[in-house]
Amino acid sequence: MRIKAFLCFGAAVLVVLSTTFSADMPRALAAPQSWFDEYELLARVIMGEATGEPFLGMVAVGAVIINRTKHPEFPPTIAGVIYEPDAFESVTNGLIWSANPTDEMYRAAELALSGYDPTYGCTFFWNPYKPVSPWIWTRAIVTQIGNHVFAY
Amino acid sequence: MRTRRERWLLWGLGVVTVLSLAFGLAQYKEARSARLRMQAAEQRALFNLVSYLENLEAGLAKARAASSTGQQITFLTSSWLNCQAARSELSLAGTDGVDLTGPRRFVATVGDFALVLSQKLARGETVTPDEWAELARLEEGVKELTGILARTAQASVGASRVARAAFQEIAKAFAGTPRGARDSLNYGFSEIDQVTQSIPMPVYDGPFSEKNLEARALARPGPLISEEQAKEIALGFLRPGETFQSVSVATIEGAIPSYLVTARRPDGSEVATTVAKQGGAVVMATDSTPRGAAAISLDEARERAMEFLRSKDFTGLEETGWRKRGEAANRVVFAYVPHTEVSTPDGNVKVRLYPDTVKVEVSLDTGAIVSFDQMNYLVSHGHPGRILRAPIVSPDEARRALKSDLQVESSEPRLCVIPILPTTEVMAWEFRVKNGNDTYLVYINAMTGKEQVVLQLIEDESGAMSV
Repeated sequence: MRIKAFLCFGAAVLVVLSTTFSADMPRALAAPQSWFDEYELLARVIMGEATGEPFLGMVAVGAVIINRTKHPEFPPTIAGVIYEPDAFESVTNGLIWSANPTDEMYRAAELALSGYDPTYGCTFFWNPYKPVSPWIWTRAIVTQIGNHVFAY
Repeated sequence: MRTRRERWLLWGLGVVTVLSLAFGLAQYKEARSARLRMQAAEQRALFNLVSYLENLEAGLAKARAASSTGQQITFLTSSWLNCQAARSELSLAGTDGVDLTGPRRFVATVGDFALVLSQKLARGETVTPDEWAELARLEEGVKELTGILARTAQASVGASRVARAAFQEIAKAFAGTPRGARDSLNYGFSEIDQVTQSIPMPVYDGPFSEKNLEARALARPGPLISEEQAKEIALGFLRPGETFQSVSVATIEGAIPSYLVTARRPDGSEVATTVAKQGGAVVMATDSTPRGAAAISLDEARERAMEFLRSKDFTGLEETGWRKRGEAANRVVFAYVPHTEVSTPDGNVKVRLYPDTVKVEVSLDTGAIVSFDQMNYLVSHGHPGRILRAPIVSPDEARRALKSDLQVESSEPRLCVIPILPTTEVMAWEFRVKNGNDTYLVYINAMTGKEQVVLQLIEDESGAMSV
């Protein structure tokens, strides 16, 4: 009986320990390594924000991030824009590290980085079919590509 | 007397209780640790922000007080660097829904203005008394901002300490960012937002000045075209003759009102073409079809790109760079610029127009054109505001402005127009030079004889481009 109780307690300890460590492990394994550059980061945000969107919609999301780096109201780097608190839902909820971007998403990131901008300089995008802050509707909408509207 | 079954049930219940408690405790510790890390990161950002702004204030003051140009440039450049750092920290300081648009723009503009002045001094130009006065006015704004944030930082830490002590006595289970600290932060940031909104922005010519932030319109707008015409133009551009499953047309507003024509194939891939409403020029186009392994050479791809450009009536374009793309390096993008001529006492001289770049991307599997972008060409080429005059500085005079130990590679410098800002361009002599193993393009202003821009050339098996 004592052995069984000991085994049960040991199992409980193991479960707790594995829970504690497993919460960190996927993040550690998926975190950016030194060879990852902004291109990788951009492709991941495109995955997080524009999965299911047409190819041009993916490029447009990448272009908005690039446009923000050139605007005085946003951080000056791609990483700064992407990791700005609460700027992108997919960064906040970890979706950008949940899978790997597709070739199409990497290509969209390349095009955006090279200056291809189908939004003509927009710094905001959102899905008008989902609940958003009423403030966002005060921006000047330039176009809609797929399920996202793009605005200055 | 408990039965054996009851004893097992009790043991089981005990184990489940222990497991639940242990699990809950572990989760609580992790959540608490994460909240404290976040709070620490926010406070670090806030204190860093105050430090950078204090350095900025000191840098601006020293720049105004310094007598030598070299010292002024040093202080102005360090001010710009402190602004860049402050911009990054400003986005991390942690606020609950406080609009920081004003402070962000203010800090960015102060840095931009300082950099523009330092560049003027570096080119040998003079900073006017009005510009120094503007700098002094901005410095006062920075001082006010720094004071508010320093008080905010102190208040937030004080509130944090008091709130945590009280909190620890009441309930240890709810550790987090104390409300008092959060309120202090939000109050402080709301205050700086109001202050920065009341400071007028300087009128100057820099990347963040109003005129350079505005999207640019077509240089030569033509007559309006209809949606049907746009569809016809788009379908005949990248894949003429191809039949698509569906074609949709959307509109793009803004500086260049356009039609966005999207032609879809049954496999889900699409050709998206943007056509300007005024004149019907294709602004940009992409084909999203997945591409296979590279099967043609770089030179063959180059020829395909030129063929494509010729078929679109582009003449006299010169290739200025290329870069392979894709993990499999199965695409290559080429950059081209047009040229014009200016008359000089020695005859007409060809001028490269770098602001008017056109980009063509070729897939190396079949040689198909997969993207095209002439946005820069359409907003710059033939712009009525571009008036090209004969260079005042001769090639030999420009050569003498080069650093003496550089090895000049090109026999004759090339006359060109280079972009300085979206709305500013200058005429310059371009020298390809070597310094050790590194190659550079050095641009000497053809009107003033001063060194204007230095670019490093990166040439390897994946491309040739300047940075």
